[in-house]
Formats: sequence, C-alpha cells, structure tokens
Amino acid sequence: MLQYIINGLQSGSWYSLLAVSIVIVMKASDVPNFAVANMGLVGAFLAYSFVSAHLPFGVAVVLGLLGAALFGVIIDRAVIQRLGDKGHFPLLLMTIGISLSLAAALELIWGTNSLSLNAPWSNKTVHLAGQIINWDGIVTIATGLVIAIAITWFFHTTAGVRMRAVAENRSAARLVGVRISRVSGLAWGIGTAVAALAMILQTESSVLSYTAGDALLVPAFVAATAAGFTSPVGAYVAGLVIGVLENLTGGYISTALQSVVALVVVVLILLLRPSGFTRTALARREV
Amino acid sequence: MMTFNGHRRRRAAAAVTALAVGSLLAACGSTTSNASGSGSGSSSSSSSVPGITSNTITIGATEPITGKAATAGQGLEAGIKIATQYINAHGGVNGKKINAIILDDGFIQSREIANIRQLVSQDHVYAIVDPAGSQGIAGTWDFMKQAGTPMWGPISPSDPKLPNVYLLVASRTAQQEVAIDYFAKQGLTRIAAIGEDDDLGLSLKDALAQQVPKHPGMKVVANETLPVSTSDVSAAVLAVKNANPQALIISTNNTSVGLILKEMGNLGLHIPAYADQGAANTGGVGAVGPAGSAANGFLGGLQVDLPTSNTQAVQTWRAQAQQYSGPQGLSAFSLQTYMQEMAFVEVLKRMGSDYSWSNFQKTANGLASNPITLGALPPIACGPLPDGHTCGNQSEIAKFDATTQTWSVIQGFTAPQS
Repeated sequence: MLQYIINGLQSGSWYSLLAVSIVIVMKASDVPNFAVANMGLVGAFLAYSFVSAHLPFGVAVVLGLLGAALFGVIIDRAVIQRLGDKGHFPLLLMTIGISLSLAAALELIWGTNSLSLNAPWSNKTVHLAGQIINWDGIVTIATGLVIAIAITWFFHTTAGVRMRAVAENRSAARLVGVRISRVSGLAWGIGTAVAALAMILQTESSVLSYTAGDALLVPAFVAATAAGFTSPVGAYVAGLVIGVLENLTGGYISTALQSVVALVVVVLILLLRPSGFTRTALARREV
Repeated sequence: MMTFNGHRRRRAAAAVTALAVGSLLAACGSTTSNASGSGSGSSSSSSSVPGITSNTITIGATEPITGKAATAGQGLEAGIKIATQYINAHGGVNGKKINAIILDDGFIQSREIANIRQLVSQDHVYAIVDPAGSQGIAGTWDFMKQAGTPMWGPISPSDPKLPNVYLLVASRTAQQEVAIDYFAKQGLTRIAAIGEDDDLGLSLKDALAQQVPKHPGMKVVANETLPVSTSDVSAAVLAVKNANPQALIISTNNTSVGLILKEMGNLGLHIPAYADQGAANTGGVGAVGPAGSAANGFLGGLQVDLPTSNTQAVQTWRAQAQQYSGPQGLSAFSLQTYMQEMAFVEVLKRMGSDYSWSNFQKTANGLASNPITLGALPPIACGPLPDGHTCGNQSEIAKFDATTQTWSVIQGFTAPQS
C-alpha cells in the first residue's frame, strides 16, 4: 500500500504541477492552455542539452527553467496577446495549434529516440518501512510541495493579486491601472517554468521524448477542472489525488483501469460541481 | 467576486476538458476499418496488370517515417531503398527495374489506410511490399480483398487469411509463444505479463492463452495492462513483483519496455524479461538504451537475423547498407525489409513472364514445396489458404549485454511448440 501511495504521489506531483501551470495561465489569460505539457518539454529538452554539454545537473535545470519561462513570455507576446481581443475560442484553438507545432519542432530538433535525463539521484533507492522507494519519487514529491507553497505565496504578493484581479475582471483591472500585458507575460512565464519543472521531474524519472507529455495532459486538466481552473492549491491537491487513485486502482483492481480514473473523476466533477470542488472552498477566500 | 462570464468560461473550459478526455480515450482504443472496394478483382492478365510496364515494376509501401515510430519507419524505408538499388544495379527482374513508392504515414492509422488506398487506386502499384502499421493495415483488409493487389510481408498484423496477403515472418504472438517455450525449457513456470492496452497487449494475451497450457505446471501469475504511451509503469511492475514470478513477457512500445526494465532494476526484480522484436528493438538501443544497466540480460525476439551477424546474407546487406546515406540503414528494420523485398523479387523471378496476380498467388502458394531461403530469414514456405499465408513462424531469441552494449543470439530460429 505504502509503495503504491508513494508512486501515486510521484505521478500525482507531475499532474499537480502541470495543473498549477494551467491555473496560473488561466488566471491571467482566461484560456485553458492545451500546450502546457509540450511547452514544459521545451524546458526539459533544454535542460537535457545543457546536461549533455557537461553542465552540472542543477545548473542545467535552472537554465532550462529560465529558457522555458522566456519561451512562455515569447509565446504570450507573439501569439496570445495578439489574439486577446478575438474572443475565447480562437485562443483555445491557438494553444492546441501551439502544442501540435511544438511536438513537430521537438521531434525535428531532438529526434524520436527516447533520451535519458539523469539526475544525481536517478536510479537510487531507499528502504522505507520495508518498501523500496526511488529517490526520484521523493525528490518529485518534495519539489511539488515546495512549488505549490511558493505559488500560493506568490498569489498573495502584489504581482499575484494583480494577476487574480485580471482573472476576475479584466476591464476593471485595466481601469485601476493594472497593465494587462505585463501580467499576462508574467503568468505565461511562470506557468511555463512550472510546467517545465513538471516535465523535468517526469522525464528524469522515466525517459525524455517529444511524446512524454501526452499521458500527463488529461490528468492535469482533470486536476485543473477539479480546482475550477482557479485555485492552485486545489489543482495541486487534485493532481495528487488522481495520481494516488490511479496507482491504487492499478495495484488493487487492475492496471487496465488506471487510465479510466481520470475520466471517472472528470465526469463526477462535471456532474456534481461543474465549477470545481475547490473554487467555493478556496478560490472565493483567495479572491 | 467571480463574474458571470468568468463562471461561464470556466465551465466551458471544464466541458472542453471533458470532451478532450473522452476523445483521447476513444482514440486510444479505436481501430479504423472503413475501406470500401474499388479494386478490379483478383485476376488480371499479364498485359493489363497494374504497375507493370515494359521496363519497370512499381511497388509501394507505407511506413512511419515520421512520428512516434520514426526510428523503425526510417529503418524499414532504408531496407526497401537499399534492396531496390541493389536489385536494379544487378539488372532488375528479368530486365525490369523496380520502382518503389514509399509513403510516410506518421504512425497514424488513418494515414496508413489512406496511403494503401492511394498506392492501389492512384499509383496503381503491382504490389504492396513491406508495409508497416499492424493496426492500420488491418483496416485495409476489405479493400485489399476487393482490389486483389498482392500484399507481401506486412509488419506485423495477424493473418487475415486473404488470398493476396502473405505474412513472411513470425507474428508478435508467434514470437511470444517461442519465448514461453524457451522459459519452459529453462524450468521457469511462474510467468508474468505486461501488455499495452492495444493490439500489442492482445497479441500477448493470445500467446499466453495458446502456449501456457502446453507446458504442464506453467501458470500466469500476473497479467497487467498499461495505458498506451504511459510514462507511469510503477503500478504494473509493482503488481508483477508482488506476484513473485520467475519470468516476465512484455508487449508494449519501446519506451515502455525501457521504463519497465528501469523500474524492475529499481525494485530489485531480477528475473528474465522478454519482448518481441518490435517492442524490444532487438539489435538496437531503442528500448534498452533508456534502461541503462537494468537492461542487462534482457531478452529480445528476432524475426530476422541480427544486423551484426556474420552470415553471408547479412554481410551482403551490410555492405550495401553502409553505402546508404539516409538514417537507420544498418538497423534490424532495414535488414528485415531488405530481405523481404529480396524474397518478393525471387517470387517474381519464379513467375517467368506471366506477371498476373493469379500467377503471383499460384507461385507464392507453391513455396511450401520449394521455400525461399535467404539466410537471414527463416525459410519462406507459403502454402495455400487457410493457414499457408503465414509463411514463416520461426523466431530467434537474443540477449542484451549492457556492459558491451551488444546483442547476441542465444536461440536460433525456432517455431512455437505445437
């Protein structure tokens, strides 16, 4: 049981971080970013390239995250803000287009072979309560928790409050002097860096390929849905719950049903609380 | 306070998410099979046979040259090109040069089907040779049956038992049956299985159902299914470990095989593990590379000899492949399609001057009494239907040495125990 839960918390942390990224972008641009995983992969591939260039792993990760953040800002300035007045649906379609384009670009640049992004703790294990636990799992869970706390804190800073104001009422925020474009760029930059961290953690413990984000996108969006696309804390918790549920389902019922868990969760959310379970509990208090 | 528009947009986003979830899950399990007939029947006179001119024979293939299976696809493409160049440089077939049209399908089933229809209906090829994409190809059976165009060496669907379709090498199921027999010979009776939630996993279930009962005392102690393209294999591997098996058979994509081996290493699960040629990328590093030292001792099936083999047939191919400027020329996939095209040409040569499809079928169906022996493939001994179009069901088993990063054959071509 313990091992299934820890494995679930590990995969759940990947979902959580991507879901937090989705929520951050949603707050500023009011668009569900379907390119989140592939945008995060840009940072992971950059980190891989830096590691391949013999930079220390930590330095490579930081440079990868910075590169991802810059990439997010560029996407916002070059694409998202230009479509800002075209309505909600074109923006949504654009994120799908960005995702497909990025997949092709990543394949072209880094090839189709699976790559190894090895961290100093990769393939190392620790015995805990009679179970063998991977260090990368522990690192992933701890990192996810730290990021969730940091993002929660961020939304109580001046910049964070501005971002929440834009999310709630873009026109009113503009009237009181909030620079929408700056807030949007900040959100895409932070969101893409968080997504990159998710993909670095995920590919470090598995393999790096241009398809690595495919399996994470659905659970991440389900987690964001559970949080009403509003609450980073809710998205983080929901991601963990989905990861643990998937692993317990695989371990005690059937691994064939693992992929159904996310579907069941999203159906339940839409039936019981379409605006998300955490929006009323947390988001109202946050806003 | 949340605005009305905010509510509505977030509900819309939630609905889009649900739609995307549903679509993705539906896509994961779908197999397209909507081909309708537009062919010209199964018999043709030599003078009106599609793809045949006074100096050329046009053949066609669809391969995943881009996309998730690009490594394999580029190797398969390379083998066809290398074989075509070699054949043409040596005078062609009875003076006719081979013209090979190779289309990229991106490993997308609908494109595989569309490509085969295009090759038959628009490009008017004489035969489809070495097409890849077992799920998509299976979606063309109705079309192929009505078109009558020969399909030679598809990789690697189940045998549809059609008059014009010939499978040359061991299917996944046949390879896995050979592995089960191998484990039985080693005295290993507690077998675990991890299959992908698509036709890869189904092939493994078939192999287990057919072959395990043939070995008294052998039983399947774990049978896990992985979602397609998942990166989280931990629950499946943990479930296998908890079942205390003596051997594991894997039928997933290359990446998942690598992840499973890696997780086995992390959990200290040191038992023999096997995957068929496509899953193991036997001879290459597609699966074992990401697994690192955990891949040591991993067993891979082989439909065709190792590319590093020193047999005369492989040496001849290797000499040609070294001249090839494209990617994956020296891969096992390249060797496979090279050999299969050579076998196809041998059938053409045996047909004499009558290139009609009926004569092709007659000649191919007669191979049981005079098999084509190329050295790097098991003897190709096609016979009449219903079972004769599975022309070879023997496979080898190779072992990977992570220290030297090399594969070596530990069991030669062997058919499943009947």
